Amino acid sequence: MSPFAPIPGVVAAAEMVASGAVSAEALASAALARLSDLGPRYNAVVALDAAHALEQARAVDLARARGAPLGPLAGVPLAHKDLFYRAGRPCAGGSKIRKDFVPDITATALERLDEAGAVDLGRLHLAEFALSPTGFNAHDGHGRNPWRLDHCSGGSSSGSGAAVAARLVSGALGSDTGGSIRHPAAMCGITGLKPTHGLVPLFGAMPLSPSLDTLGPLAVSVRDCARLLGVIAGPDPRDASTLAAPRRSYEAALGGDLRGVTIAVPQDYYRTAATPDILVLLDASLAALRAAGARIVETCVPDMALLNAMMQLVMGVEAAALHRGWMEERPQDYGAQVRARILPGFAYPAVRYAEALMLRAKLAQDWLATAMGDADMVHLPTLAVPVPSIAETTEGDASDIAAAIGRVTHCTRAINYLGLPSLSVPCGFAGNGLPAAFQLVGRPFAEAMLLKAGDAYQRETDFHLRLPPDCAEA
Amino acid sequence: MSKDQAPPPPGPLDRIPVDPAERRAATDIARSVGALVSAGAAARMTVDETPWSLHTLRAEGAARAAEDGA
Repeated sequence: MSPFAPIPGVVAAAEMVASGAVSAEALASAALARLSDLGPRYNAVVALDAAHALEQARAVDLARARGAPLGPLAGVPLAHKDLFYRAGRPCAGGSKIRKDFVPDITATALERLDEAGAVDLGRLHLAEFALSPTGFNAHDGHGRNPWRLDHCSGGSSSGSGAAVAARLVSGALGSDTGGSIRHPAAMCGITGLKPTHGLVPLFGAMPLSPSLDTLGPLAVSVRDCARLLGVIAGPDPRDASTLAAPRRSYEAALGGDLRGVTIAVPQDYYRTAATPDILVLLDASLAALRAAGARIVETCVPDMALLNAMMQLVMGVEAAALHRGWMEERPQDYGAQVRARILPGFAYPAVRYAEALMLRAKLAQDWLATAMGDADMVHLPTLAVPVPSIAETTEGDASDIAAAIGRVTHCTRAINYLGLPSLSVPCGFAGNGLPAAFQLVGRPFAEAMLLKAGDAYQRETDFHLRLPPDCAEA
Repeated sequence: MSKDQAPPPPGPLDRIPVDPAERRAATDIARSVGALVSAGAAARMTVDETPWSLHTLRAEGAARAAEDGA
């Protein structure tokens, strides 16, 4: 393999290594070369860990040479948002404050990837403390979209989105508190899965708002996401929220058509916010899902302003609690946008926070009953507007910036409050030439159903396979 | 010192160095978002509400997923 060729997706890379078409070490070296050469263009990389990666890759090659059984991710080159702890390796969380932090634990998700044979190439860019939906970072610079460098990569898992889209790695993990997996997946033209809260253990991942935080994969295809999810999901005694989580093979759910599957499409709030070019793409995706056998029904949604407020309050209070010490002692070391998002959390009465948490299950039931009804999933835009430019989200009047950022999270943030799974799937290109995506939202732990539908869609379309310009060769 | 002369209790942002504009913006957001949550809760909260916890809803979902995956 040429060191400069695009890195294959998760499943393809695993098959190439297992068959001997390429060695894990050669694949890791190629990915490291691409990350070094192209990563800076997108500001996607914080730091590579070549020695560790090559050691992992050589272990896979040695196991294969001995005829030992290989894990489902043996030799697959990955890199992750820089908030997953690996003992002994720095983890800055996109911040100035933690730039020298070295954890002494390893995230459960990374441990599970290691056991499956994956190769961890290093740490990818993210928004400061995972607190921007656009990829903005006042300290490390903006994440840049591989499709157009002056546009947002999406955040906060900005480096994960850009690195997968440019085929610098086979896949990546991100975190999603209000849309941080789905935004970069949608904006960069790849697939991203925000799991049910409590499916993937949070242990060893820097928290933002533990009641809302989720960890999940960003990858080229639905099948790639299913492979990664099957490895990282399941109960972990170090995260009690996962104790009810099922363990299963999500790939086994893929294949076949969508006969017997009903998809609900709320006609208000989400679609009324969509621009005409996005609506055309959403309708085309529904036509493809219908052609695959799905039944499409129209629904509506309950009071979304209330759900968005609930999410904003929970995140604000929990982020304020986690950041209080630094906000008191080192306020100047936060970017202004991040300070502005944390500060209101100090001002909410405790009763409001308790109300938001106590009503969460009831409001989730109400949303499911209204938006989904008897259907199996809900089809929504991930981003109702074309990908914004970096300038639109950082320059000019503060209210204009706030409005632009609000449009980015319009379709995603309430889903975290509801704790539901959501799969973001690329579905074409908006009027400005940048990617667009829909999301499929399901009941708790319905990831297999969402993946089945997304995979059926991707077997009929090729949007997820399109490469951004100038990244076919370095 | 009479009750009228006593200083106000410390505000939630008093220990955090913020300029007046930041303080005003933060409290404005907290007031408007808190009002939405308060009104929503007032209309929906009952003493006997169930389930109280998202964990319960998730457990139901896990049981359903186990049946589907079986």
